[in-house]
Amino acid sequence: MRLQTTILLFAVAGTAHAETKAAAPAAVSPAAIAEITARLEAITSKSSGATSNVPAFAFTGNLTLDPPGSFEIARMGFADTTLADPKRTQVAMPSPDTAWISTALGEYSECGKAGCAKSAPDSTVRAIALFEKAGDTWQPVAWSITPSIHAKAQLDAIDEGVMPDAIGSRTEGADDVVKLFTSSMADPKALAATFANRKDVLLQGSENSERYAGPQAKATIAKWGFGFTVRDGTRAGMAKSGTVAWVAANVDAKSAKKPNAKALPFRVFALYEKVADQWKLVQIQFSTAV
Amino acid sequence: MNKKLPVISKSVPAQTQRELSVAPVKKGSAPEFPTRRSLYDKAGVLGTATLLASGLAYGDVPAKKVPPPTQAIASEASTGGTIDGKPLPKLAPKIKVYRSGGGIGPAEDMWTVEDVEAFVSYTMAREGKLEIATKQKFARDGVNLVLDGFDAKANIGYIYIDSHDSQRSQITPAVRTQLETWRKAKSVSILLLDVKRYPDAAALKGKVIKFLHDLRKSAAAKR
Repeated sequence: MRLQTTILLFAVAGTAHAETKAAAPAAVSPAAIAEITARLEAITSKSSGATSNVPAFAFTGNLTLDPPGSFEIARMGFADTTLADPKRTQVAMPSPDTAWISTALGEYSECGKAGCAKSAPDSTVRAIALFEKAGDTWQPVAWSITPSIHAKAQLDAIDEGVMPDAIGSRTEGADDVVKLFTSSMADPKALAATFANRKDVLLQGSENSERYAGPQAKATIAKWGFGFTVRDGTRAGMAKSGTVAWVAANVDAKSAKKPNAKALPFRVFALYEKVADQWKLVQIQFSTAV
Repeated sequence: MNKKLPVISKSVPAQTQRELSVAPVKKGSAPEFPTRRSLYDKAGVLGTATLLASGLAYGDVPAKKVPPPTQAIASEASTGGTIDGKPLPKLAPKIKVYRSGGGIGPAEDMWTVEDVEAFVSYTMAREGKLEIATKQKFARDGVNLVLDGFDAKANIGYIYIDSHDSQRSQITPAVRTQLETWRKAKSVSILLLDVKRYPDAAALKGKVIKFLHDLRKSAAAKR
């Protein structure tokens, strides 16, 4: 099972590398993919006993933590055990000390005799996490680990006027990225144009099934036709390498086709990579707060 | 006295089977100590083998084997918390929603209030490390309520209402205002979960955790 996982992960990393040869990202070894995946699983599994640095920013479930008060708070609500779905796992390592992972984490309260890998999870959360190597350990810089909320529960939240916690503006050296983010979000075509031209560029909508990779991601964001307005602040930060930045914001989405429709509130978390002096969006996740 | 003596004329196996006969040692060989040269030779062979092995190992770095968890161990959160004095079940309760109805009207989402309340009690006890007692009568400031879950020591609890719940009619606007007043005064914190359309587990869990996190934040601010 683990071997199959490794082969699959290698295949994902391999294709991603082949696609982006021009941008020359570092190839990700199966060992590194397994290590980063295991690190994310350990951090999100309360039974693992893992310790970690506190990330600078976290969308953890329904919470917006800027920054989390502690590692324990950063992982409030995580399950006893989580397992990454190998079919939905992508790892990129633009430099030896910077990596990001996107995956779907199965959450388990009990695994049964067969083990978690052979059991159906209680629930699933979508994860995008940026890691940095500190010493021998991968430490989280920022993450968005959120569940998909049922559309009817979203409607309940909208009726109640529930809004995600406000986010303050702070860019921490990622000014150029924030400028790109805020200037492109309002126009679906402009936003699509910021997507990196690589196979592992990923768009995750607020529903579990809304997962689009590669050219499909770019096409889908344009097809959705949403213009996003940043509601409050834009929070951003940069990895030490200076080539990967993260952005988090609350946005109101309005369909270009229905300009008079009520705006839908979302939270958005995005990762950008600098390739040849240009920032390109490589991961984006929308989530709902209730 | 007749005594039978051993018959010496009978041949022994060594005599009949010549390969079993033992020849005397005529000359002993001197003990051999390894020479420096032989040590170098052996080290070379061993070294090459080591290099080969390590070369193979590094040439194809095996993925770090992380054994898959076989059993969810008691967690930092699940070690705390009880429901009606009992430790939390290992398996998290599930909310089963199914389509039912029919007849003249269209099918609609159906669930049981008990399922939802079991899930919320579990989440609240686990995440808040609370001792939740279910269906607790509560009276204060002229308001009489039945709380679906309440930790009397921590003064934290919840009420769940939905379209299937007979309790809904008791949660009047005046009661809602009172709950808010208590929350602001930090005398008692009761989360009101009012589901109108669908009892989504992720949404309910999110609301409970946000509620507990806000309490923790305000308690920290108070200190």
